[in-house]
Amino acid sequence: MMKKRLGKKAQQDTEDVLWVIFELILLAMAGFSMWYYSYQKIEKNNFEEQFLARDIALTVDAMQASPHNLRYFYSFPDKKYDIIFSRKDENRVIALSKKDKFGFYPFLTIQENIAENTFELSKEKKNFFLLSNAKDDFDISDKEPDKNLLYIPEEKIEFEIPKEVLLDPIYYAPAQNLILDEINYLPIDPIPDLLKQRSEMNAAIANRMYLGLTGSGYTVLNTREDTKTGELLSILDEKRKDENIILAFQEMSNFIIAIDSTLSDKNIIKIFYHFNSKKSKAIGIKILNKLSKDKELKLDGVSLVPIHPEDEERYNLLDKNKISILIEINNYIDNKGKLSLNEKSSNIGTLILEAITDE
Amino acid sequence: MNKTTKTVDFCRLRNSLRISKKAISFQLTDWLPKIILLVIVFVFTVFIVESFYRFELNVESIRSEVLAYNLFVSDKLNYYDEEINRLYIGIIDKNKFDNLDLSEYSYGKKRYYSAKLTLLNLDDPNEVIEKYYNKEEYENWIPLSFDKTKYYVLYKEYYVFIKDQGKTSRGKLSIELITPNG
Repeated sequence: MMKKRLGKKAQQDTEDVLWVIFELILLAMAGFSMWYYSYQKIEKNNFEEQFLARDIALTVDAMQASPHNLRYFYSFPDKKYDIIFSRKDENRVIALSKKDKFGFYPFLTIQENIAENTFELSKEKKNFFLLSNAKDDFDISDKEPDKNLLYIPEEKIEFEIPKEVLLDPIYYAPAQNLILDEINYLPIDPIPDLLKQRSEMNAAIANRMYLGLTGSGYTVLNTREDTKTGELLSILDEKRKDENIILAFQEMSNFIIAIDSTLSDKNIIKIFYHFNSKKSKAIGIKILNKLSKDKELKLDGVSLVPIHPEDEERYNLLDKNKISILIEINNYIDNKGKLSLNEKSSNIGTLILEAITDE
Repeated sequence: MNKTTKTVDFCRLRNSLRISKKAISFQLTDWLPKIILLVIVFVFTVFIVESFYRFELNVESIRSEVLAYNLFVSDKLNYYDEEINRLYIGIIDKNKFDNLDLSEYSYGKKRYYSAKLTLLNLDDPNEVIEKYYNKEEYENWIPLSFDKTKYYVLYKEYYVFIKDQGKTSRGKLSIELITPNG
């Protein structure tokens, strides 16, 4: 009787153990199937291929919007891909991975000469280059472009730089006189002391140039007294010299450098010159190449802009018979509300000086 | 003692293999709630995976922005000074705008977007010029464009100058792009 009772209990225990094992097996199967489901979802997708196709296609679109020459270095993860620029019926970038997964996306062809092309990318060879030569040519290549192409080709003309220079750092009257943006008719100086900051920056660049030029034997005329001394910050509120005197200076000078700083969403330095003055253009190219080669300055770009001064009053100091340039420093506003290149005014002044004096 | 224990273990195992059908059916009814719970957990996990895993790369908004910018800076509508080889972005050449052909701004045969460009002369509000790209698609898509899941609509306004045979006036350029998603 006793034996039978024990047997029933034992049977019950064994059943319990087996059910627990069964439960565990069921749970493991459910867990495995859930993991396998998620794994298959991730493994079978072509997310990376789609991403690459979209990213490259949008890069090509954006490059074609540039009115200037652009060279873009496209770098890849260490994976094997075929990147195909297809022009059949539809312009498509196709990213094909070695697992036969692919993604594609259309791209604009404003520049019709974007050729059909295929690049094999791998761990060893993981980049290619996109080159847009402003509306004329678009090249996609796996060969690194000549670095000199990044700079503006220098004009080969022989001329002597006059030893008398007129420096004209633009001065903005403080406070209320807001300048309106030409396009949006809105004030472009939303920060109250920005006009002062701009005046300071123009003066600081001119001051550095003044010291260097006089040291190199140049005679320097200056439209602002304060830039002749190192104490310009304390006397910034002094008014600019009489406009008539400046105009007289401009009349008699054969070498004029005007300096201005403005707001932009990028750090870009522009040089404006009279479209008919080859000497001004040559000096402008030298300065811009010098500035863009400097690693500390970290400019987003430089631009050389020909001007019809007859059409735009702002540029009336540019003259076809003189060497006359307007250097415009485009800054963004940093998180302290300051012009981003303000602290580098002295570097900018030095580099311009070196370009002029050929150091 | 050890011998006895071994005998009992063997008995338990033997007995366990002789579970009656009645017992099994009883155990199954006992298990039903557990199985239902397991199925609920499984379905819930699938739902979680599906909701987090979203394979959509919608870049239509970026593409539309790039396209609108491409149009705004285009030499097809901006004034170009041939003498100095300079394009004046933001100064619209009215003559060019009148004869505007946007077919160049395509992605190939398939029509990925439609566009409407409106140039309003602010100095003479009666002067409004409208230009279309894929006009038929524009007219078909615009009534449906309230459905944000199917269409992306980009509307941009730029204040510009309009240059018309030496005369310059103030103007407003509106660019409206409709792109089907996906």
